[in-house]
Amino acid sequence: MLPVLQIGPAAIQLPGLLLIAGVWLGSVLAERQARRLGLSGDGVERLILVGLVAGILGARMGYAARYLEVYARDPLALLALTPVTLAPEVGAAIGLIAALVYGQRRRLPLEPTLDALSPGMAAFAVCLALAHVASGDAFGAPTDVPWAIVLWGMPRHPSQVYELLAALAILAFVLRLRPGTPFPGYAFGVFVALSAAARLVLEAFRGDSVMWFGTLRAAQIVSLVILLAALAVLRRLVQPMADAGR
Amino acid sequence: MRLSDLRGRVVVLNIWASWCPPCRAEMPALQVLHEQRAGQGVVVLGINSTVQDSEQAARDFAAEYGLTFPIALDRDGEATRLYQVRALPSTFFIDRQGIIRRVVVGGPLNPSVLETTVLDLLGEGG
Repeated sequence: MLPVLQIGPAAIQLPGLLLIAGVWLGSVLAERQARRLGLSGDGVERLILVGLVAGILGARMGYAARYLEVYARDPLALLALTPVTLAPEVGAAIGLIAALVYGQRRRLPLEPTLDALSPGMAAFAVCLALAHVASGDAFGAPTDVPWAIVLWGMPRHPSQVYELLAALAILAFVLRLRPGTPFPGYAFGVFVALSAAARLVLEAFRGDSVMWFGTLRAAQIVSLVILLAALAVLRRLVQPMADAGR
Repeated sequence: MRLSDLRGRVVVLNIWASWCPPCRAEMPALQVLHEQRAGQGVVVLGINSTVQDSEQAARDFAAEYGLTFPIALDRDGEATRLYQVRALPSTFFIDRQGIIRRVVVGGPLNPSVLETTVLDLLGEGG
C-alpha cells in the first residue's frame, strides 16, 4: 500500500495518478484498436472524452441526488475533487448514453466501436486495480488463509491483488482477440462478460461490500445481471453465424 | 476506550497530528459532525498520533479548535501501526457491527464525504 508518493516536498496521491494513467493508456489502446478496425481514431478518442466527462458529471449528480439535503446546504461540494462522492453506476450509465449519442451523430458503427474500446477499458481496469493496491480501497474480508495480508488492523483477503490478477488476465485475453472476428461486437461482449464474472466471484472476498436486504451483496447482483445480459447478446450475435454455417 | 464498546454505533475514527495542515483543515467538519450527530448514534473519535507529535501540541490544537469529541493519545504509535497509517490524516468509517467500511487516506476530507458516508451507515440500521 502506497497511498502517497513523497518526492521531495511534493506529496503525490498515487491512486489518483494511476487512474489518470489508466485513462491515458486506455485512450491510446482504444485509438490504436480503432485504426486497426478501420475506424476514425480521432472519432473514438473524442467519444472517450465525451463519455468520460459526461460520466464524471453524471456520477457526481447521481451521488448528489441521493443526498439532496447535504448538497442543497453546500452546493460547492458538487465541485469537490474527491472520487468518494461519485455514484459509479449512474456515471457509467450516463457516460455510456452520452458516448452512444456522440457515436451515432459521428456515424461510428456501434459494434466495431465497442470492440475498439475493449482493450482500453481492460487496461483502465488494470490501472484501477493498481490504484486500489496503492490506496488500500476495495479491501478484503477478514480471513485466516496463509496468503492473508494485514490491512486496517487485521488479516484480510488481498482482494486488491485478486482484482489486479483478474484484470491482467482479462486484458491479456482481450489483447489476443483478433479485431472484428469472429463477428463485430465479440471482443466487447467477451470483455463485459469476463469482467462481470470476475466481479461476481471476487466480490465474495471483499470486506466493504454494500449489502441489499442485509444479506445480498449489491455488486454481485448487478454483476450477475450484466453477465447474463452479455451472454444473451453474444448468443444473439452468434446465432446468424451458426444458422449460416448449417 | 475500546472500539468494541462502541458496537451498535457508527464510528468515525480520525487519526491526526497538530502539525499536519490537512488535519487542521478538516477538524472543524469533524466537530460539526459530532455536534449534529452524537445524539443519533454517531461517535467521532480522534486519535492524535502523539508518537510523531507532542501531548502539549495536541492539547493546544484541541483547545484552538474547540474540540469536544473524545481524543486518544497514541503515545507509543500502536494505533498508528495497527491501522497502518501511511499518511495523516487518515479517517476510518466503522459501521454498527464494528466493521471498517470506508477508509480515506489523506485529506482534508470534504464535509460532504463525512456527512454522506455517515448517513449511509446510519441508514443501514443494525
